[in-house]
Amino acid sequence: MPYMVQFDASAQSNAELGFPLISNQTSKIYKSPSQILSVAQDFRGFMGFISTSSITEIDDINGRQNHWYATWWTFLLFLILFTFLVFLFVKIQNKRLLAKVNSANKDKELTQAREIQNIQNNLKATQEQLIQQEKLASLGQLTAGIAHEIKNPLNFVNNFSELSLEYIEEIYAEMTKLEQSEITEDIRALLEDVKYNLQKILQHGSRADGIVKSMLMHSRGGKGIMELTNLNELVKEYVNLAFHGMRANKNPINVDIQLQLDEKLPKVQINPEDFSRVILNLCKNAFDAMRDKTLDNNTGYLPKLTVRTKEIGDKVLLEVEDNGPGIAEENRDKLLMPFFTTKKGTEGTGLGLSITHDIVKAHDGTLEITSEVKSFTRFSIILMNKHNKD
Amino acid sequence: MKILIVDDEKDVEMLFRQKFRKEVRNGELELVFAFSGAEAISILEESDPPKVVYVFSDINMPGMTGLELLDRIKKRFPQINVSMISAYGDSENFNKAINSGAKEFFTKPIDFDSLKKEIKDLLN
Repeated sequence: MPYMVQFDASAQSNAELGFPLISNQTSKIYKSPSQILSVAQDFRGFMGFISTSSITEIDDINGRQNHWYATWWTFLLFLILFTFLVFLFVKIQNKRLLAKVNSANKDKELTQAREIQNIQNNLKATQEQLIQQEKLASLGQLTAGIAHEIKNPLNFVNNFSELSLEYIEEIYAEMTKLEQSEITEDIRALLEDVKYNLQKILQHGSRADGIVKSMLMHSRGGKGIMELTNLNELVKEYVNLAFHGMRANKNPINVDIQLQLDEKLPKVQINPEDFSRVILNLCKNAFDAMRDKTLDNNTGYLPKLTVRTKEIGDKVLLEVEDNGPGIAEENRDKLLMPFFTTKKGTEGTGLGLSITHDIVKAHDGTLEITSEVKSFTRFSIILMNKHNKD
Repeated sequence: MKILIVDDEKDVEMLFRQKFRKEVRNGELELVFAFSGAEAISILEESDPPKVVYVFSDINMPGMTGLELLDRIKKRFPQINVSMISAYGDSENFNKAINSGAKEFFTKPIDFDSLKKEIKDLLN
């Protein structure tokens, strides 16, 4: 009698349905023939799908005795089938596990690849930025070089035209000693024209000189020292200076200046030289804007400049606000562009705000512009005061 | 009083001569010009002691720079005043010049009023 293998019920039913799935709690080997017989009977149902009728027949003829060959080959077949199924099961299970591990690995690899891609993109962007900055830096150096080279001949233009103007005044003085006639009148008229031309040469030469100076200021990087500065004192000093500068120049206006300075403002780590320029530029712009408004309407408009400092958490705010004509919508984007100006003719170089913005950026600060046409313009500079609090 | 002006730009001569025309005409001032550091040294060496009492020198010049010239003049003729005139008014040049014994530091464009005042102070 061959050994037999028992299946549990679920395995049996699965096998009957032809499923390759077999429970794991399978093999128990029975040695006693009677046991085997009873087990064999249990399997009749199963064997039925191979040769149901013959087994039934045998059962009918032999009572509880089984035909040896019927059981022998069936069981052998069964054993082979079972081994095959177990083999198949293990294989599939292995495959599944492998697939699982593989997919997990794949996910990992994918995320890694994505990370690498990100890093590479960042690197590329940084590289491009670096190249751009390098280009700008060399452009800046070039500008500084050109500005200097232009400055020298320009100085001659200005100096000599100035000198000639002085000479014309001397000629006038000498001419009064001459006997006055039609000829002296002609000469005087001609000299008047020459004087006018010289004034124009000097005026435009000075204008070019202003542009060149601003360009030098622009390209001048990394000079001056960052130091802990009393911003309030700096504001007081330079707002005052800007005001008196404006008063001493052409078309002075009356301005109500209000300083709203935060008494508890800590010292700020800034380059005072550069920052004084920022204050001067912003005040000068405000004065120019308010002058335009006084020229437009004279009905009770009083120019008012408000300069504010304030400590906001770990930041320091500096605001310069005027009640001038405001900034037209279409000009707001262009304000910080070099050489952009709304000032007429020779009044502006268009570099003031661009320089201001550069200086603020160099301090890791932000420059914000709020404006309402016909009402006000406010420049807000926010600086991080990360350095200390004493 | 003899003053030496050193600049590689030749037009500087005309400019100074015109600016100081009156002073030159009435004999208060005598202007001498050199267009390089080497030329300046040879002018100073012409007579011993040199008649020049004040040297105004540009800094950026081909060959000997104004700062080198300043050093050499200060070593050999410490009694002569030297002031620098430069388009590069940065603190580096300024400090170098003052530390090497320059009397004043003028930036270009030259403010002739302050230059005249400096010379007048010396005349009196």
